[in-house]
Amino acid sequence: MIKDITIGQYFPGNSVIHRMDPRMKLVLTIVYIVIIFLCKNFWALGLMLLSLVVMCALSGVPAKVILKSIKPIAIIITFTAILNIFYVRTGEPLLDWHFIHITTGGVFTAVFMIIRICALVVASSLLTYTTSPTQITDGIERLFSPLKFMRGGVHTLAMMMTIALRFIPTLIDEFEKITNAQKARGADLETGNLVERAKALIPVLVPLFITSFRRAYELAFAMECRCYHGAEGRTRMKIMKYSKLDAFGFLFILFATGGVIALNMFFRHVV
Amino acid sequence: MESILKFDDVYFSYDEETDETQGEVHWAVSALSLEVKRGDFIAVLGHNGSGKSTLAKLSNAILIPDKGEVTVKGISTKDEDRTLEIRKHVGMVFQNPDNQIVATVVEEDVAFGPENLGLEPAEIRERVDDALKAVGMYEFRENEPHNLSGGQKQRVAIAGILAMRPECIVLDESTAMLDPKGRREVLETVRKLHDEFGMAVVFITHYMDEAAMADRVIVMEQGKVLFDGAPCDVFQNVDELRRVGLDVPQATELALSLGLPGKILTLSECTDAIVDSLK
Repeated sequence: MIKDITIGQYFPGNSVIHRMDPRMKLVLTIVYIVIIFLCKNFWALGLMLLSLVVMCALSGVPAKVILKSIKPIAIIITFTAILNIFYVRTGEPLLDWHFIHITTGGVFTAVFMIIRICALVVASSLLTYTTSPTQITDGIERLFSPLKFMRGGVHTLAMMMTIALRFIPTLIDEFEKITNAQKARGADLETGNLVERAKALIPVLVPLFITSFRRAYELAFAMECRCYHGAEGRTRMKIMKYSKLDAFGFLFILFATGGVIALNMFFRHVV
Repeated sequence: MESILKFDDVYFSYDEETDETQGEVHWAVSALSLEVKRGDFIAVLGHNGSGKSTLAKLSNAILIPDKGEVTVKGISTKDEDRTLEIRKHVGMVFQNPDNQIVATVVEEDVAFGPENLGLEPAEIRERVDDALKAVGMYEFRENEPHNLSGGQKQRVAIAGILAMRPECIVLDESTAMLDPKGRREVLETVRKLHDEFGMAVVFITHYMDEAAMADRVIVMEQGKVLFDGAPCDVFQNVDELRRVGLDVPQATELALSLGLPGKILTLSECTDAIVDSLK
């Protein structure tokens, strides 16, 4: 059950989106998310959705997988939509019954929020689907590397993220081993209410913590033996290079941005 | 032959230095003198707590001796400014393969050492490819380490050390956590590194059969060297080895109890000797 939880689910492939530079993908994803929230009417939003569909199609990641990424946040979306419907009081009244007041503005805002959140989640999932966790951390490290004064900090953070990602599967295996060992000794992890079950996890978590510390200690030794001494004087095997693909990606998002600005100006604002 | 690693009357204790009121100091390693030359293949034997892991950690400046001196190609491990240089010459592989792999992709992990040395990207690429080919893991270069078997992981760890192009490689019980197949893979790899690339190997183990394939065996007991010599000579001392909690290879034991002549180490030598004596 715990193995189903995957952080930064990567979908290996060789599409144009996969081959883009991770730094460019990171920046463009952030730009895309910002623009999604700058859309003022359905035309602009439609353009952004269309470009998202184009990007998803180019990535070669199955539509089913992409849609699955929305599932975990369905509750958040529903809540946001309901709150918006009831609390936004602009536009024409649609329903006025006791304490419930629904207006056109509320409905529009709700629909907008649903689309925006979905687009946001799909866009960021597209990034993690097409970029391996290592590439993302490397990308972050290199994006911030021109800021000399915080370079050491960024490197340390990126190294921590890499090691954390590296050890997730190892710790999951360990967790399962300890769980089985405790079950073999008669530990009851599956019955009882929430509090009882949380308490039953203590005999699993304590050994897990202790072994993690031991691992960390050994890993530090091993890293020192391999001459690790922080960011200073460290080079990388893989050089990141911007290619034509990145230029196309950049232009694509640039045109979408231009389109949104134009549509925002020409059509009436809904939100 | 050129000396790579040299222990000169080394003492080391894990006790606090201020604990002088306690009387006698418990030395983890005492009066240890040892020299590893280019192309040596040395196995270090000893039961738990005999000081063999301490010996490993002393060899590349993870631990600094309390008395005496450890030198790597003439550089003392006490010289803190040159620790990196020492670790470049003497690489170390540990027991648990999981705890020495840093990156999420095999080739990136192997590149970790050379990257730390600040080499050019093209040079790193070449070293990584060479190292992965040397341990026979080149086809797995884009795999994730957690999907590999124990033996494969340990070979990746060895490749990570090889990519730094050390002159001596110290394996601290690197086969202890592996299944028989994994152990064989690692042993074959180490043997190949020694035979084909002339690398000096210090192989710390508690498996007698593994020690038997070395050129020289050192048996440690309570921080001291008990025996030091060719495996066939060392394994003649059955009673003494038993006393310190070690065994001798089964073939040697059988040959000795049958009173066969000659110094026998391997199974085939043993069968030959038995056949000869029956003729």
